[in-house]
Amino acid sequence: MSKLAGNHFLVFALLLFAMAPRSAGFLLMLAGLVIFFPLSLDPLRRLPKERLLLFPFTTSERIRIRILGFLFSPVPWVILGVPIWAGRRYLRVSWMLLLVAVAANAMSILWLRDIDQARRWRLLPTGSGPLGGLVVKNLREMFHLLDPYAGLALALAATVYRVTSPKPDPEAVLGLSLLVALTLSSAAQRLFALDSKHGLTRYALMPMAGWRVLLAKDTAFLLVLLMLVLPLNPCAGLAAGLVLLAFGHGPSILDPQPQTPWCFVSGARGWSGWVQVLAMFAAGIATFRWSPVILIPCLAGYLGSLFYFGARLEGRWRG
Amino acid sequence: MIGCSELTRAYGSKAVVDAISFDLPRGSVCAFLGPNGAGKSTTLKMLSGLLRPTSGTITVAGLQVHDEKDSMDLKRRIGVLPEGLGLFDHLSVEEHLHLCGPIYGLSQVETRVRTDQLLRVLGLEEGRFTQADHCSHGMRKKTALAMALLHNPEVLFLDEPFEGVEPVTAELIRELLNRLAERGVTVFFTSHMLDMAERLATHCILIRSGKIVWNSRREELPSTLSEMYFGLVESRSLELMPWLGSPRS
Repeated sequence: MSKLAGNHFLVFALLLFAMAPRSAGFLLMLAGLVIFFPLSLDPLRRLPKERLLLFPFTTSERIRIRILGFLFSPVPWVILGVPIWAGRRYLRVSWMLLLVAVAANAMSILWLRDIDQARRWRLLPTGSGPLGGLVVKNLREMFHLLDPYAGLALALAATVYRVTSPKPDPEAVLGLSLLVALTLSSAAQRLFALDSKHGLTRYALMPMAGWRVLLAKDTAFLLVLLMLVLPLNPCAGLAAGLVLLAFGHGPSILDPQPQTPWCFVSGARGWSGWVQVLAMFAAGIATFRWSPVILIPCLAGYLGSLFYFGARLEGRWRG
Repeated sequence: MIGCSELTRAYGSKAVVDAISFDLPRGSVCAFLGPNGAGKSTTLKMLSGLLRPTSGTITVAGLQVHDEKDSMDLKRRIGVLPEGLGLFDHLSVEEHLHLCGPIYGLSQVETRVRTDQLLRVLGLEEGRFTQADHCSHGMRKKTALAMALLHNPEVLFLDEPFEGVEPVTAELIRELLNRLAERGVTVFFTSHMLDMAERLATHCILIRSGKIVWNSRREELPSTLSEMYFGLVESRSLELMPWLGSPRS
């Protein structure tokens, strides 16, 4: 739970709920998924499978361990608690949550059973040149996080609104674009999260400047973000993305944290997350209100951050 | 080709590697041997530029390791099999090599040709599409070794290249390293497999508690490498545990 508290999108949804509960409905549903999806995965999956099999447990003991693991998970208590706390008419919510939990576990099991996972990723175009391969690798890593999928759900809903509404409010479209960017903001602070320390060693061995390694990360991030905001407000989305990355390089390099795949990213703690998100909103709104020329200072700030933290990254490689 | 002088790495007041010095000529194969925790991997990390020494100097292929301006040139000229193997979990065996080729300046065609050859020689053809996090330890090690060889380096730093690899491939790797050395490639490797080390190495360095206890050419060893190792490096008597192997109640 403490890790989830670092997810900017979840924090934003809760703040919005505190101020305007009705307008936070859809976001809260997504936020609910943020909490519920990783939580509902099998709690015993963290134990080494071989160790669990080697322990001299009888079948009944194994069943008891599984039941206990299930009871120590907050998921069944949430499912049971909703109708008890909110009344029987919320029973439908419980059923939905149960469905999400089952779906999460089914997805996890199906994914893990497929040994040749690389086959499905071959659908992504192969990158060419020194940076291309790294960009494709980073894109794959991004698709192993839940944040882009939350962004996708939000972007799809916003696109439906924009297409079906006879006169879509441009300010609403801007707000939705920035919300989509917000779903990726924590990921911008954990650019190396899925590389593991072994992957970081490989970067250190590569004859490649730190800023280029960082650029490959950023390109993948911006590609995902632009794909999501393209039907909405791509200009504001791009400004937001550049600012998110400019502020995200610091925590990504100076405070790298491991990240579990198929979970939402836990961003950096403290003021850096707030500053990053506020700057992102400011840049997006300024681009919309004043002029797309605002993209130029955003790009300048981004490039400054890229080269500065690229040098810091090389410093870390040298031990 | 590889030289270090008074090389030290300390954590606080404890020196993990304590003022070691040696020189290895071009085309030599050096076995760097010692027990767990003796400082082998730390030394290898310092030699390959992954870890900054507390003091001392290192020269590899005529370049100062840890000198910022030589850094990129050095990385292009060395191949490293690091302790943790340095693989990306979400890439397949083949993709690791396809990723690295262009980074080391190889064309796509050249990268593919070399990849196919390396996968064939190292017995990785069948598992070429398997993602690294689904590979066995041996497959992962062979993938990392292939990455170290792909760009035809002048110097190879290999951390335990034979451990966890099946005997046939281990023998192939030994033969391959031997051939590379004949062509002028300098190989520096750590290992716990003394017989393999003895058959491959032209130089032997034994290390204990961060200090070099023996450094010579192989033919200058006064006895077999195993005898030297047990005499100089590890001599522990077995403490018998009475409960182990006794009838179970």
